[in-house]
Amino acid sequence: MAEALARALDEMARRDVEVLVLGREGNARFVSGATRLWLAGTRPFAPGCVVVRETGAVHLLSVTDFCVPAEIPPERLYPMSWNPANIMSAVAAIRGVSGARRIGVDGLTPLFEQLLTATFPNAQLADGEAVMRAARRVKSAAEVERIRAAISVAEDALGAAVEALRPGVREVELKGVFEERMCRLGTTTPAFEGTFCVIDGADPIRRFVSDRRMAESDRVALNVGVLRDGWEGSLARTWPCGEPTAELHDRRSRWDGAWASLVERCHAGVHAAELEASAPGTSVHGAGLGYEGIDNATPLDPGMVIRLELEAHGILGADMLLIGDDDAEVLSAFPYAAAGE
Amino acid sequence: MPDRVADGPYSATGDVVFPTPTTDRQLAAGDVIWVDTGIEYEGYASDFGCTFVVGGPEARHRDQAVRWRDIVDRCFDVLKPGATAGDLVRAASRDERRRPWLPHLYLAHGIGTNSAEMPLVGTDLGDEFDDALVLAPGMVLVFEPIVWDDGEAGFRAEEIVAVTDDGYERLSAPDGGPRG
Repeated sequence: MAEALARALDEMARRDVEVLVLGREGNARFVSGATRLWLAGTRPFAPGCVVVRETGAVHLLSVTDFCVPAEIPPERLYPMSWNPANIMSAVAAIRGVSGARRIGVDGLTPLFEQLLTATFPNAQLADGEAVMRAARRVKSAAEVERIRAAISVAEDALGAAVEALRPGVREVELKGVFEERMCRLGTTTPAFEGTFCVIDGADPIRRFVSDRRMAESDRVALNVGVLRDGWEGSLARTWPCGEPTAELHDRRSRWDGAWASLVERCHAGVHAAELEASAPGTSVHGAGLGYEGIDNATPLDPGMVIRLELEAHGILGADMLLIGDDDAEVLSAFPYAAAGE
Repeated sequence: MPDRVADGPYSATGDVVFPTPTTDRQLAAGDVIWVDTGIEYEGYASDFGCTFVVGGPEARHRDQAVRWRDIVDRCFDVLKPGATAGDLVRAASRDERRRPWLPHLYLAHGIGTNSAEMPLVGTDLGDEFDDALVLAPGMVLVFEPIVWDDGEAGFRAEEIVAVTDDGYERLSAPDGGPRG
């Protein structure tokens, strides 16, 4: 955590940002290491976390220090309020905030923008999301371990869904099996709305589950992710319902070839946009504390974790990759094809 | 409620008397478990709260549940279009030593595409805000007051009602008290 905060403070210095006011949970978690109670729909746009460059201190909106790391003593917690003016007063009272010339914010409602500019008339608002994107971009070894742990939960739960895949089972039931297993493993938040969908011919793959019952020889797209302690673990596979067919084998061979050459292209120095342009159906984004955007103007660096997805030849597959100097490590060990294919 | 865990104990077992992030702690007989959860269905949220006692509730747990029921029923007595959030706050607080909810939360909140949304009843937005908030048909409220005794854990459940043209309609089953 101290190491992550140091990265954020470095980026603040580089971008001449004196104070960061963070509303997004991934950003707050990155600098604080704290697990907080989510208040759906209410807190995400509130200034829930403040980082002051001058003092190096992290301040959190929290009514308790339960699950807040010891590095953040209780006097650095400010209380929750339903009155935005009260929250702004609490932020203004934090040492080092009121004199700041440049305040970085990662997302604001018009109301909070008004309050911030009224409370700090001499401060200029800056792009705090850019600061955090840069700080979160390259993962430490400890962060990669947390991502690996999240992937292993996703793999285990995906294994349960694959086990349940047979003719007559509905798509929505597969999703239920996945989420039940994920919860039993102590992780209760999917990283995104999963896909458990039959693929029709060469049509674009549907992403939302339906009540449709799977039939013998259907191809089923499975795109799953979990957030374990805030960190994403995700992957996608395409699996046969019942016995694999010759058609699937043919599609799979073509997809495998395209995937292998795509993975080969993943290494430091490549731009995400180049990867996306290299094979139709490719998408690339960063992943860590959930979805992380990638700046297409900058090439990939060693230590970045990307989510590489290829939808081609009627097959969907995706993995998280750890970028190295000359290659990339695929972080999942889940097989790409059913036994016997 | 103290600001920090170190200033406890908040309850007989020294726990934070407020549902915060779930931990991997093992449950023991007599533990009071507050459940506050919900699911989304076709884009709309639900909110479910209940209190469980490991090993089953004792008399004091049941007594807290009766007091909780009484608070919610007093609110339901005045719940109709034209009543204000202030009326609900006064009904809930009548005969109570303190407002029966946590000061940083609320007596009731709206629900819809978010699990907690406007209207908010009994927040630190204050009495003036509550008195100006007039209930109208179609508003859906989740009542979740809390009954607790210092040194003991407490009882909290949640009940959801929709304001109708001439009163209200229950959307959730009435809570039957602590479960074990």
